[in-house]
Amino acid sequence: MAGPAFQSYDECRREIEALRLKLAEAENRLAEAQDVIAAIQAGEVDAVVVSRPEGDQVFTLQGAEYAYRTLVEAMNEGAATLGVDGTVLYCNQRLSDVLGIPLEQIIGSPVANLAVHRAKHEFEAFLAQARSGEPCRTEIEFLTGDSRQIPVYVSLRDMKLGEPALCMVVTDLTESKKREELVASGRLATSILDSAAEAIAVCDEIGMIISANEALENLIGFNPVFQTFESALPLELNAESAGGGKRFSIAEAMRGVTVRGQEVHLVRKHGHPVSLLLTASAIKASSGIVGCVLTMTDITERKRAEEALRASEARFRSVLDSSRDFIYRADLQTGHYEYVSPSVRNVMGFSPEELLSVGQKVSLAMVHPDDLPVVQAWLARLADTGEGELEYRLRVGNGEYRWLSNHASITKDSAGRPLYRNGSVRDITEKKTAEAALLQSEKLASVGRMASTIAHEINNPLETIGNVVYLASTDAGISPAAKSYLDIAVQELDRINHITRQTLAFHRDTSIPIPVDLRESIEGVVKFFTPRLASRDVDVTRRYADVGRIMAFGSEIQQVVSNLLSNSMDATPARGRIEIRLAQTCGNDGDKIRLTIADTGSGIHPHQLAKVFEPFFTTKEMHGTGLGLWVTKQIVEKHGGTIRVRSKLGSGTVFSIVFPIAEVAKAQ
Amino acid sequence: MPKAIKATILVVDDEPRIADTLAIILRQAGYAVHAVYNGEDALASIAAHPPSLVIMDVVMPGIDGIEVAKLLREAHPNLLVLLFSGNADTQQMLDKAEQRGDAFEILAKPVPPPQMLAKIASLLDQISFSIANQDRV
Repeated sequence: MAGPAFQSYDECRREIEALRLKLAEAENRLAEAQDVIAAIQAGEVDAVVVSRPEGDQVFTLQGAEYAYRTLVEAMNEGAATLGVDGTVLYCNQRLSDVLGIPLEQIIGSPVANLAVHRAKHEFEAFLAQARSGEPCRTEIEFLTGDSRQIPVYVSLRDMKLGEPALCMVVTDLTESKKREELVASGRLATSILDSAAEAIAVCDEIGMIISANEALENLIGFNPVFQTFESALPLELNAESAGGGKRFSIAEAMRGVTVRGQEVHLVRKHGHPVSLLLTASAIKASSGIVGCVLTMTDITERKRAEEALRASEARFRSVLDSSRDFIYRADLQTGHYEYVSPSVRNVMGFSPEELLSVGQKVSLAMVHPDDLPVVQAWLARLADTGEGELEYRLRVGNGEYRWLSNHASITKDSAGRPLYRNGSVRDITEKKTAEAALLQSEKLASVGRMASTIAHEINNPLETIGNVVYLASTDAGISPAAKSYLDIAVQELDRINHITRQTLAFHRDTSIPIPVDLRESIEGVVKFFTPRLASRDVDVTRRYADVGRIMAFGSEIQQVVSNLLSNSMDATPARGRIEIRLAQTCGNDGDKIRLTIADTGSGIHPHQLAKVFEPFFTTKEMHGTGLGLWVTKQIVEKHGGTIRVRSKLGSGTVFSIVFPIAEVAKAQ
Repeated sequence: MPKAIKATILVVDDEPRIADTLAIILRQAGYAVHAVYNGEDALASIAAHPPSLVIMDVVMPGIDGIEVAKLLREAHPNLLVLLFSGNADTQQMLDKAEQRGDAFEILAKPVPPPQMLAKIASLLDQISFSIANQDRV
């Protein structure tokens, strides 16, 4: 509260002293007046002389009554005197005006009739209380002549005139009630403003702040009322928005353009800048725009939190992005991917965008058909288990199948419904290949062990047979026919010896390669197969160009031809055709011999074609060892040659082998 | 056709059929051949009648071919020993022996008789050549 401003303590003390003297004088006068009133009431006084600067004045009782009557008629309150039964004996014009009831109707009526019906009893109680000598005041509602209820303040007291009579003063509260309401609503508005978390400023038409709430004061640290908005709050538009960096002006809002959710910075001399979300709108009256209301929400913390979140998200994303595995999040409701890390390109050969656009259905379609049921079962089980890992094959961007390991977990909502599947996928093709190779080498090793245990048993009888066949064939007494049979036996024994040695590969070969005529090798094999070929009516045509010889182990070359011809025969239906060709080819690294064996058989499935030279790969189920073509390839490569296969399902298969023509062989 | 006896050969194999048939083949080729069926008998036979050449199986019950060959190398440095074997483990046995300083030549069973005869002929040629040289020196 503002008080008088004192220049010094002495000045203040002098003022207090003066006030104290004034108070003492006023108290004396009051005491004198009370004495006079008491004397008048007691009838001890007929006249009172009041001393005044312009001379003494004499007041008689009669004069006093006239004066009182004038006073009563002139006063702004309604006044009345009441008889002991509550009948109105007299009332002034003001009371008649307030109630809108003629004087003559009021006078002579019971005063209680003036009160509204529901307050009548209460009013009569007041009357009784006043009659008992106790003055009483109350707020009550009176009924006007036109049936309005008006709030009044009623004061009743006993007049103490010897006979019982009451005096009543009525104050019309209608106007003051209105004022109270206004004040109350003003207070309400202020309290609403002050309780608002947003800073709110109300400006007049020239841009001066005429009202500011507590939040605004707290924001800027002072009361900005009667300052222009732009000087009290220098706001800068957010750099990211249009017109970034410029000062905010309320001119637009004053023109009637509502600003909604504009991000601004409050520029402060000290401390960090504050980020605000600003809304401004004009106050429109019938006369046009009379000002504007500006609301500002402090979003500094929110911005900071957002920034922190962005930074942490960027950190996580950089971790995800740099991961060798690809990481995904799939929405289980929509079946779409929500996030796919960039390394999906390395793993699957698709861009993240490609995978995001196709969804899980398409990615499931890329799973290897053999693995699909397992993958589907696994996905279904995940909903229960919550977490799991599965290895399966997937056709990637270049059409190849890769082995993937998918480690996934399910995110559920509070009701336990699965929402998302989060997972990381790793390319484990190399690991799988290594595992397969290991498995294969283990298979080979076990075959080797098996071979070693039976080798002795095979080789020793072969030694004996070789010896006795030799003895029989060198016996002078045998017929030429028997001799030719035994020669075949010797040749076949040689083949057996080489097959066991080559296939089981457990002895160092002690013999050396010799020049071999491929035509002789082929003819020998065809002759051996002739009975089987004839029984199936399969024709074997041979076309030999004049080719040189190769340096080789003859029995091994026979084994190569035998393996290929045997396969062709198995694949070729009755009355089919097999063609064996020998041709000379010229390469960069010298002349070569091409041996081709083509059949009109069933062909090899494209999936299997790449595997035909792998050990233990067979399409012959129980009958094949899966070693024939593998051994063939080993032999060809041992001779410095290459072997190729091409096949068309249902049309046939062509194996072609290229052998180098050795210098030694050429010379001979 | 009778032939002059070229040399004396001892065939050692625990399978009598191998030892016997090989002995017949070698006799027909003109060698004097004796066949025994284990290492102990081989050592006894050699002590009694030292041959020019021993053709010996490696994996045999009792004392094996490599052991016999080592003993012979000490007792009869000039005696030729040709090992032959059908067993995969033979290579490992030979490798071990070689690591200890005893290298032996070995043929893989089955050895076709013509190949065996050629091998024996060339080995015996070497001896006669070296003996001839020794004589000359």
